[in-house]
Amino acid sequence: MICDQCNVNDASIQMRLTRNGETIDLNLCPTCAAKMQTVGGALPSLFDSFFSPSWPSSDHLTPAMFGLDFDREQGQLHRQTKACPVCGQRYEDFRKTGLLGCAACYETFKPWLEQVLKRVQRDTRHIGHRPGLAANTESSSEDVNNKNQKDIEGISAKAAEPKDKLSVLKMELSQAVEAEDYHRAAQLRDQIQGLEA
Amino acid sequence: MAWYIENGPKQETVLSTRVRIARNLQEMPFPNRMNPVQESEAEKLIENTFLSLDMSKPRTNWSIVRLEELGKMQKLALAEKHLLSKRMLEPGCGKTLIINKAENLSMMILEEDHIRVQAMSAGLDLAKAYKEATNLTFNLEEKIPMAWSDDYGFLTACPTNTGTGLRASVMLFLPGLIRTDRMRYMTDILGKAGYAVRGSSGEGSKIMGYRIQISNQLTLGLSEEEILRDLQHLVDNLIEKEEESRIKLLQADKLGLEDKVFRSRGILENARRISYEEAVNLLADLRLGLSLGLISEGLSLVSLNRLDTNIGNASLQQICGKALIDCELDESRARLIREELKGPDRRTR
Repeated sequence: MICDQCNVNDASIQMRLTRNGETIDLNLCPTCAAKMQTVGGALPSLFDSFFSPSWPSSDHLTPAMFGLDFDREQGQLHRQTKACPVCGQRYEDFRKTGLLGCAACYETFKPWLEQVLKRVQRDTRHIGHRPGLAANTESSSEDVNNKNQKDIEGISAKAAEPKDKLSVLKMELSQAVEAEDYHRAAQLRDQIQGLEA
Repeated sequence: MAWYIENGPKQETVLSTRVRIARNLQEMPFPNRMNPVQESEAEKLIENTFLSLDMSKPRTNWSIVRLEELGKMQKLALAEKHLLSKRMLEPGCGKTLIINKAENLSMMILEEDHIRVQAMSAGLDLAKAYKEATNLTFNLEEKIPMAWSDDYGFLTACPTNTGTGLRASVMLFLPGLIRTDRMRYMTDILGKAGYAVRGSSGEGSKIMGYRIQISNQLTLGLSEEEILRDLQHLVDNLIEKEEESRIKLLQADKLGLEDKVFRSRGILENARRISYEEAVNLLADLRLGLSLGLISEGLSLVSLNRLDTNIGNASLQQICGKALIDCELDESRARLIREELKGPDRRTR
């Protein structure tokens, strides 16, 4: 397991941070763990810039100070400053531009990307054409020309089915989060949880 | 004849069909993270690979357009024909455009993704457009390793394209649904069902000439065939609803509709200056009149298709061969329309 802090060394120490009743487990290498412990205690100069002069105790130690972000909804730790080892794109860059930097970014940011894909796509797994295999255009032509006479209201009915309703709600949730309408986002999240249960 | 002037299946409701496939080179960062050396390397690789394909011969059937060598007006004219994306109008975005003679098959190099193959077809013909686009894409895939993951399929710069990289869209002509105010309801349903609904000039553009573009938003978790079949199903339903609505319009006030169509014709045949928006809207009335049989003498769909393609600001300036200021544009547009509506098509049809 790689260290959650430096993303380079092997993690050999588990550390639990507790803040306002929230608990976060970190896997750290000895060097980073030592730094963390010092911060919690004596406040080294390295971290001075992060903290206010009146920094009182380790109670104020937050994941954000280590480039980590705890997502309360997902219960996940976000590593906002993590950069793709191949192209250097950071997750933050992706959040700003909506663009990934290279194929390796899909692995680098996998846990967060899966959340994004769940929101914007039908599924998170590809089931279509594979490279090097000719697309079966003949059969698809037939499929496409095989007219289905169902009424368009069928689409409306389909949208009201739980699975589709769920994806609609998820889409609305992501829009609400984008718009920073957290009140609406909270309502939508509850509805989603209700449906998923 | 260029593809966009031809008539295609369901032309009375579907103006055109477009299929776009995005691919990226396995070994290179996506265009937004490339340095100039990588850009030039990727550009050469893609272009040379294309030129090594049988389908690129004879070479005279293809134009290779370097965007940096084009003026703003030339770029806009390509964008008006949907051969360049809006993104590629920005300086520094996109390098090369390869287009076939009929202008129905093209490839944008180093746009948001390394390769974007696009096939267009008159009327509603998803199967044909898809076949043409995959033919080129598959040929390239055989020669260049593409960015691929077993989980996510073909990898693209934006996760909204990943998986199949396939975006299929249709440009619809929906005067019935819009005039009977049913489109608002349809738009709502379509959005929830995973489709993007836009005005004729793409994202954020307003609806003119009763034109609405619909495209799939989901590219992952569905096969290419499913994406196309679902869109086909949807469009078939919309066509049916549109036809019903046009009949309702006719039944409600045939004379009123005729009055509108003939007035529009009167303006188009006589105006000395006309703005783009007014022209598009009035031409749409003629298209509706033609489809309902209210007007036929001296008017053909081919004429209307040709005008729709040529009356955009940039295309007009290309036809005139010089840069025009606003009132000159309106004058040239009015002249072009008068000539086309009184031209040879009037006698042949």
